[in-house]
Amino acid sequence: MQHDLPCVGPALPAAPLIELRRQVGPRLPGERRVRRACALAPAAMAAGARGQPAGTITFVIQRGRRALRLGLWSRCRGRGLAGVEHRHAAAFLRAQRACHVGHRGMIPAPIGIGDQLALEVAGVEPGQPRRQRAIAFPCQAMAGDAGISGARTRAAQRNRLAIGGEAIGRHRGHRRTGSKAGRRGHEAQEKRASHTGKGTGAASRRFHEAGCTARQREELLADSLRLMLPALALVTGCAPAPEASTDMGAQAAARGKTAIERVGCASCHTIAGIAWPEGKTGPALAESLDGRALIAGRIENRPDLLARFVRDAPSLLPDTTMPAMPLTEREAYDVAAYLYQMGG
Amino acid sequence: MFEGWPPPVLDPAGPYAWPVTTLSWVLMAMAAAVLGLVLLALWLALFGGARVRSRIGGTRIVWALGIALPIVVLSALLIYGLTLTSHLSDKIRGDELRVRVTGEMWWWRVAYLDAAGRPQWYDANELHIPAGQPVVLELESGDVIHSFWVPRLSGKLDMIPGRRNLMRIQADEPGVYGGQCAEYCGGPHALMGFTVIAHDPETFARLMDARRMREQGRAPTTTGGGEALFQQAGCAACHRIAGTPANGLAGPDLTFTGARRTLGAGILPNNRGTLMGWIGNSQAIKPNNRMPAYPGLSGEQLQVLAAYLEAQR
Repeated sequence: MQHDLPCVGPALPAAPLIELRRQVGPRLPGERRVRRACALAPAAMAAGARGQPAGTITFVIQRGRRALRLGLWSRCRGRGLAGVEHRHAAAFLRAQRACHVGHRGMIPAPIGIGDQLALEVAGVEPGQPRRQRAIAFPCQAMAGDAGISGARTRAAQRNRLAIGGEAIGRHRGHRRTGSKAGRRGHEAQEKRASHTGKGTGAASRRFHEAGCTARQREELLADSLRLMLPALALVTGCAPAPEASTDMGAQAAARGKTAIERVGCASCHTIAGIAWPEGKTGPALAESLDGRALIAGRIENRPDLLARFVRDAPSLLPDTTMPAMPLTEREAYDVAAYLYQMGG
Repeated sequence: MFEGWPPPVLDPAGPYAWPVTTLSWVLMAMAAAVLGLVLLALWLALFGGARVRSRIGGTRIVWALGIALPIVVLSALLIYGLTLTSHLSDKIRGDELRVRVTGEMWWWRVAYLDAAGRPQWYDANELHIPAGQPVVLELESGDVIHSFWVPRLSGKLDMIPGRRNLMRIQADEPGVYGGQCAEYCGGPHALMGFTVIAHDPETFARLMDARRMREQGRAPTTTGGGEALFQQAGCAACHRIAGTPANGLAGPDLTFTGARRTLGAGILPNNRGTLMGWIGNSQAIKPNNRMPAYPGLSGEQLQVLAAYLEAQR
């Protein structure tokens, strides 16, 4: 299967990265903060490489952090990633054409930044699983939420990422698990690569071998790189796995809409397709939740978890301000179906 | 949206509603018949033969169909209509349940009166009645002209400032009957709904007793500091909860909020989520209503307030 946009990694302007790092550290338990942190990512993705030679672009960052990033870039270059990038330059350029004019003047930087972020954020609070997990999400969320072409991560793939994400920042004693997760991701990625016939698998294997040597920091970096590779594969292969489907049926969605109107979800949330009311007490749900990485900024975006969340949010997040709603389990499932299908 | 709302219009459920519905149908049928007659005459005048056309333009037809027929038909309809609806304005016996409903912008103030006309307990946007018994409503207005209309139980009657209009309603069966303000009264007029709940007489008697007791007694004790927050946040300036220092009269009485079916005057289902949404930003739900948005209240505070109000029943 050929795709227009085979190899666009997450794009990260430097400033949001720093910001994200700051926020994720001390403020993660606050739902809104995390959502904001994730929300930075799509904006980052819009970072245009317009007017730049796109041959080596995988990431784009703002000027000013150049020295730091270039250092990383050259390191990754040595590991053979640049070739992968180069091959898809034309596709990337096409994708970037529609970008915002205000993002001109950005310079390309390589994949290492995303990993670096993960590495550093993990360093903020090691040993607190939730924080580590959230780190994994921004990276892949960017890939998906960027909405470039058909390159969207689907729920199950996000889950895989989430599993992989727990490996980040673990101490050396736990590295076996991390490696396993990494290997799983690697295998999946290779399978996909052979399927799409793009040969990214070979490149990534080389990358892996290079990453798994020597010092502790190098090893930790390699771990996070393993995390990134499946992410890359996800953006690379665009067809969602069938079991990951959040398409739960048009009938369920229609019933879900009725249920939403019956219990009045819209009195707090402005929901796409619900004409009245347009509540502003809770976050707006203006487009399908399918493209999101997290529910409420903290929970994996899976249909069953979403259904449980709309029915009884405090059972998943005891400190959330969203109350339990008078929905049956069946209705909750229908509401989830609607939330995945709304907004086109 | 939810049970009883928006109310069906031509589906009478009580002795004060069916004459109105019957009359509506008869009038519509007559209108259709007359329209058919006019169209037939028009068609004949345009495409009929020369003889027919000269007939239609003749003096006799003008007298018969243009003057005699309307007089007969309209007079007959008038007599029929007045006869059919005459008992809607029968003398009030005086032993019926009496409730004062005051139209406000844009909600309904409700007070259940005793035999002497003194309020026994207060409610808002919801009316409990015994099924199978007539209930007399004293319709008043606090500001502009509203119109009280519960289509399944009665016709419309305006609420006029400075006047007290009496109206009877009766539901034959227990159930929930939606109502709606039927006279444009400004901004969110369309979001000024109302619910009538008819109980069987025993349940109703128990409910009246319980609420009378509650009106004179103490508020249910709650944990979580809801009562204090209710005072602090300023809710008490406009809302009253019997048995607490909250005694504002500008907004709906909240003594029985937790037991109500709807929020925001018959427009939202009443649950924890909609309560929080309404308190947090009712302006987004019912634009220009007189309750301000409270962006200063945190999610946790909204939860505490909603829990407190849910306990008020």
